[in-house]
Amino acid sequence: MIGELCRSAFCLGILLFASVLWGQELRLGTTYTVEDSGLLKVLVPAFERARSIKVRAVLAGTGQVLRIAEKGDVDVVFSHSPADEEKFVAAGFGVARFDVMYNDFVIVGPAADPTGIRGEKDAVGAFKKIHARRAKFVSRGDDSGTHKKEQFLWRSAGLVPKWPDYLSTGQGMVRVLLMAGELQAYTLCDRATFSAQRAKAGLEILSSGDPRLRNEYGVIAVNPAQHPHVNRQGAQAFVEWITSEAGQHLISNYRIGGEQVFFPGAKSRR
Amino acid sequence: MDLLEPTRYAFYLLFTGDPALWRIIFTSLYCSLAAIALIAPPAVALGFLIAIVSFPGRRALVVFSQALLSFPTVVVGLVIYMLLSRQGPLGFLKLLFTPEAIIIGYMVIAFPVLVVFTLSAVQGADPRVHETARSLGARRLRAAWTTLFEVRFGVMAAVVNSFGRVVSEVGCAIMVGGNIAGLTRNIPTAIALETSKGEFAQGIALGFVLIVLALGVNVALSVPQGEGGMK
Repeated sequence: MIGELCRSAFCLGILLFASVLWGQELRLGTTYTVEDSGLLKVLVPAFERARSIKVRAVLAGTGQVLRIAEKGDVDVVFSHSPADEEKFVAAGFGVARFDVMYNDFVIVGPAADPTGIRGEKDAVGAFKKIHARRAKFVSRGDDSGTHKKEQFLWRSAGLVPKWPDYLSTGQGMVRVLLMAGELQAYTLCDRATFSAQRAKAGLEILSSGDPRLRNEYGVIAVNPAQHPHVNRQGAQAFVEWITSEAGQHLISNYRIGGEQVFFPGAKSRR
Repeated sequence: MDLLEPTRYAFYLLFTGDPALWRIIFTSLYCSLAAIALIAPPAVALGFLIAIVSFPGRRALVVFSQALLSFPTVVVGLVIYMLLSRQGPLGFLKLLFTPEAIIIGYMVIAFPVLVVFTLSAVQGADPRVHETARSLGARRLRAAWTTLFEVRFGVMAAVVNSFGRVVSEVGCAIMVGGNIAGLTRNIPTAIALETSKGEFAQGIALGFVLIVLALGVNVALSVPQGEGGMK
């Protein structure tokens, strides 16, 4: 519910104090989808064991994570909006961006599927149908990677999402899924979070498979040239570890209900 | 962080009549005022009854009402969410994530405030008012009205307090309202969730409006009070 909000507020608060006291701690800025899918709970302890570095995760939507990182309030960013991440690096805030993993977004909705998008391979076509019927659609509306992808799809369809049942909520993915379930509405969700929350939401995957729905995660160490106080070694260690065989192996072995939801995507960094 | 620039932009948004901003303010006012208008009459009547009529279980009822004052609003939100949920007993009403759901939540939150404040106002009044009215031949209802008029400032304080509690409430409003733009997004939920996008100007503008609202309501209510309280 508002747990997500409390969690991020709590993490932020801790972080502000902790940053002064424990310089060697690594502050990882990452997104709701990594946490909500359960992957973060696997990655963080494994990294802590492997490199003996304590991690504090700061959760927010991708847009907000990048803004926090611009101010130097985290050491490393693990998010999913490649275009924004490249911009972040180009502006000098990050050292470099490395691919980590990918999965895809799915368009989910009620089993009754009032707009008939079930099996639609063209994501933009599905969005056009939803728009044409003025169907209920719950949007993240929070500048997250998921929200950015949704906006990209509306733009691709040449549409402006604005009708009475287009509901912009400004909340995290789990909350939006639950709201969509309650209202029997459509929404866009990453496959991992949906797999983890499917039972609670009461929605089904109706459209998937469009290459435009690909969801790519990248990792960026915050540039020490901009913020000298950042944990440079820790950030570098995290970037190396998550793109290494060990990190990639954990990602490809992660399962939700027997289903693989993340696919390792790191290229050789040299 | 630069404070001046967002503040300047906040005033720009307010005075240029930014529709999204004013819609949020409207939602806050509409939900709070509607809830108070609906719940105040029965709650004040109940507080009054508990104060002047003695019946078995009265003490328990007083303690219970007072305990409700410190009931977390998120729990109120949770209970109403479960009631209004699609699988809940009242799911067929399709009220979840509507302004009406927020109004219901606000009514539940305001209820104990109104009851307890009215109760203590009436108990604090001179009991001879009621006795005198009765001895002068006033019927029960008429005598009750006289007493209530006598403690009107206490009742007003109850109303102002309950308004203050709901208009600034965030937990229940997010849970049952869903912070939907243009529908259930109100001042506190917008400040709580929208500022996380970096929209500080909007947050400052809304915070400012909330303070002005509180001031306005209190000034409006102090006018009929006149010098009443100052003996």
